[in-house]
Amino acid sequence: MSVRNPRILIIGAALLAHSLPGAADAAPKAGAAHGPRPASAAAPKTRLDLPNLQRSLESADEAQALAALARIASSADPAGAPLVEALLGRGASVTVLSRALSTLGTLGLPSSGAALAPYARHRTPELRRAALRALIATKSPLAGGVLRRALHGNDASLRAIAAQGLGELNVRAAVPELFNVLSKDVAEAAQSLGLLCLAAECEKFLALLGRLRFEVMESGIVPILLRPEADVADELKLKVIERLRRMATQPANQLLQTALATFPADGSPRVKRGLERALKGFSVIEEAP
Amino acid sequence: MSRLSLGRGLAVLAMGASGVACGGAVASSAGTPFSETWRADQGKSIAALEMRLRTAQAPSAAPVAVGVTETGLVGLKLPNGKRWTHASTVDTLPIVAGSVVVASNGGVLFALDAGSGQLLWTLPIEKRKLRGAGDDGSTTVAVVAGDNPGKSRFVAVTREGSVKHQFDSTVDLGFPAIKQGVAFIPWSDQYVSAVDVGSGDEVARLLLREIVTQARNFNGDLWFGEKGLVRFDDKIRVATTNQGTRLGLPARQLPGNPVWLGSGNQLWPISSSARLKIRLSALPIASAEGAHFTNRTYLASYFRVVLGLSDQDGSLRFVKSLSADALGMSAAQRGFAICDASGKVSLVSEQGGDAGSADLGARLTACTVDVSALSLAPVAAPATLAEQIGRALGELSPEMAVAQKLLVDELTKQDDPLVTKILIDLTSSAKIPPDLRSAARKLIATRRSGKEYMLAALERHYDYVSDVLLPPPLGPLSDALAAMNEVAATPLLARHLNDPANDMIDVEHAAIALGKLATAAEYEDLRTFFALYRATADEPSLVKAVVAVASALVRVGGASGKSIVERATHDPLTQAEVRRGLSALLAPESAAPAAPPAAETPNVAKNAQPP
Repeated sequence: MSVRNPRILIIGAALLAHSLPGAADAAPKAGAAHGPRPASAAAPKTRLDLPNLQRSLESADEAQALAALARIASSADPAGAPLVEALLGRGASVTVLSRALSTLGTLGLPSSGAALAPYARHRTPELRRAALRALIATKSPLAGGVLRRALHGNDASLRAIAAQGLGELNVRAAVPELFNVLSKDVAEAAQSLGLLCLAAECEKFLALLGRLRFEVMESGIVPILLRPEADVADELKLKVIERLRRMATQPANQLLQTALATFPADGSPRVKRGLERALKGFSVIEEAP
Repeated sequence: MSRLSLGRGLAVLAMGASGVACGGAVASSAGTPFSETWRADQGKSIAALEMRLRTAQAPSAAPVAVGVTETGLVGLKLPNGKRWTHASTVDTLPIVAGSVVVASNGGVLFALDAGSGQLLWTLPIEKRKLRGAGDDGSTTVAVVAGDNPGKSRFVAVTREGSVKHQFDSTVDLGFPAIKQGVAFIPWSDQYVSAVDVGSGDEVARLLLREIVTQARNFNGDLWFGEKGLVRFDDKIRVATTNQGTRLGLPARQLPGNPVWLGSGNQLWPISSSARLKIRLSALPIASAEGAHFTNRTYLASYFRVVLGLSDQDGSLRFVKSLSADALGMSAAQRGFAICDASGKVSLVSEQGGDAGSADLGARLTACTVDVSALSLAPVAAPATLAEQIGRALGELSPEMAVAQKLLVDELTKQDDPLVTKILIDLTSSAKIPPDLRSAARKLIATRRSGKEYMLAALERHYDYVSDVLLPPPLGPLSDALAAMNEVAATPLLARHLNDPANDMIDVEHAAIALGKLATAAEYEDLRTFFALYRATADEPSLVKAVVAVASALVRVGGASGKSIVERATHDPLTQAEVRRGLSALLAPESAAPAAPPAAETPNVAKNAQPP
């Protein structure tokens, strides 16, 4: 199958997100615990030398701190997380902070959300982007609120990360905001809407086909075609398939091919047949014999 | 030739009084209304004429608006008469003279009845165009001229179209007037010759010591001059020695440098030139208190904005913003009329309130309006001056920067708290040029009223989703609120501290304000800011902000806040400049600063407990 790389990457990312197990309800929660737990309060069963790591992270030596963060990240041991969270609470140089943020993302503990959240509004762009990515990885209950706020901010890259993350974290409450930014060319919102929309929302999304640029819309279409009928009616999917067929463009054809290639085994036979007919150039509506 | 020199080479060709307009022959006659050898008579002849004409009243101009469209003229008797049209267009601005509208087009001078638009007469004038006109109720006088200096022609035409008198001159003749059969013709920038239109004889002459190119009939009174006007009254005899009844507009810098009457020696061509849109309008009047302008106010137009200005000192009285460029204006006995390019005639009360409107029903390229005989009653009270200025600023487009600047300057002279809101709105308006936005920001910092508007502005943040694409002017608001000791601002300022959409300079000012105003309730925001930036501060503003926040932490954070700052002071990862600032902050003399004056101390006692 001949595919264009960027498009496949987008679709691939959407499919990956689609395959994530039921993501957490990421609604923001007020009053989350703030500040680090002492190293001694960490889980006792760990291979990390926590006192030594703590000394390194609290030292004035940037190299030592970076090495300690590397050890924690490579161990993937949650016991190291409180040390890193404490570091973020104290503050450090951009280099150390950047590594600390990615380390917490690697550890992926929802409890790290409180330490990560303030950095999503840091004035240094790379720090706030790293913080947002780490928050998405942790699936912290705070993440949804922080991502939604980032969608309102003035950093276009951050909005893109947030728009994508809201779909990955299944933040349904963000659907109206995603529609808003989609119309302002935040293409990542399409992918998330493809994952999050229900019934009328999906119809609203697909009604934007032809009104917004295809490049903005396309990452949301395959996820919709792969959603169960309980979320999106087969009739709507067939309408979209027919619409894409009539567009008769290479990008539209590629979307149909991708949808068919990744169509779930327990997916609707009608939709699958529709995809097959469309790819052969036939209307998805089978004519009566 | 200098403007005040006597006319050299004055050659007057007098013509007979029996010609008939509409193509009738014009016969020559003897008589020289102007003479180079005239000897100053100390005002005797003009005073004698004034005395002879004193009881006669020159007719007022009909209250009418005459618009010039692409295809012709459209007129309307004001305030609410019936609209009329005339199929021929014009080449210079039409003039309302008594009950007649005089205009020229393609080498023909013509007169219309001001009330009905009916054509009264036409007169061939070769390639000349209308320069000025007057009317005494039975005779219309006009000066017509070519595009180049010289070749002025004076004509006196009866209502029936007969030419009573006509002569050509090689010197420029100015804007004429007529009273009781005597025409007043300015010439050579310093004389007004009084010419009997029946005989063609010059019956008197006025010599003025200032430029005179205009002889105007304002609601029955004659006035002579240009920048300033001298009234034709019992003091005219001493006008030569500057003792006449004189009136002028106060000097004031205005956008586009508008003029009031301008030179009576020039044409006012119909064109898209800005000249028609940048003008002054005023109506002189003499009363028991002396000469002054009606409404004690004159108008200044600058495209879509019209200012009402004091005739005493030029101070701003009102502002009127229009939906289209102002093309014609007139002051009434009470109130004003403004004719704009949309065809609307706005009637304005003497205080600047609404006094009704009329519609000429077509888009206009030029407009003449005269309401000098009317008194316009307000139908609605005017908004406050601050509101008027705010509305005008909101409606002006970016290319009107000069007017915007003037209005902003005027705004700051107002005590109204609303000024604060208007300035805040300006900083958020994409219509405002960047330098003016910057000026508005500076002015906000100096405000000490309008607290509620400042706090409301701080509630707003940059919001991409809601299309709020400019954050509020955080820095200036912080400065103003800090100067006002406004503790209610602290939670709002603290929220902005950690919003990266704000400019760094603004954040610095917010931090400094919080250094003074913050309460323990802002401790978490302050602590977060300090943690995020004490080691990453990479620009002077951010360094200052971190140190200011540290001072707030020490002040409101109790032992915990002080401990955070102390630890950072000793942490080598803390940015060097920040560390220096923190050390200074924690030095013994800083730790126990002298108490500021009571009035300067914000009321934070109730929130001063550390977390």
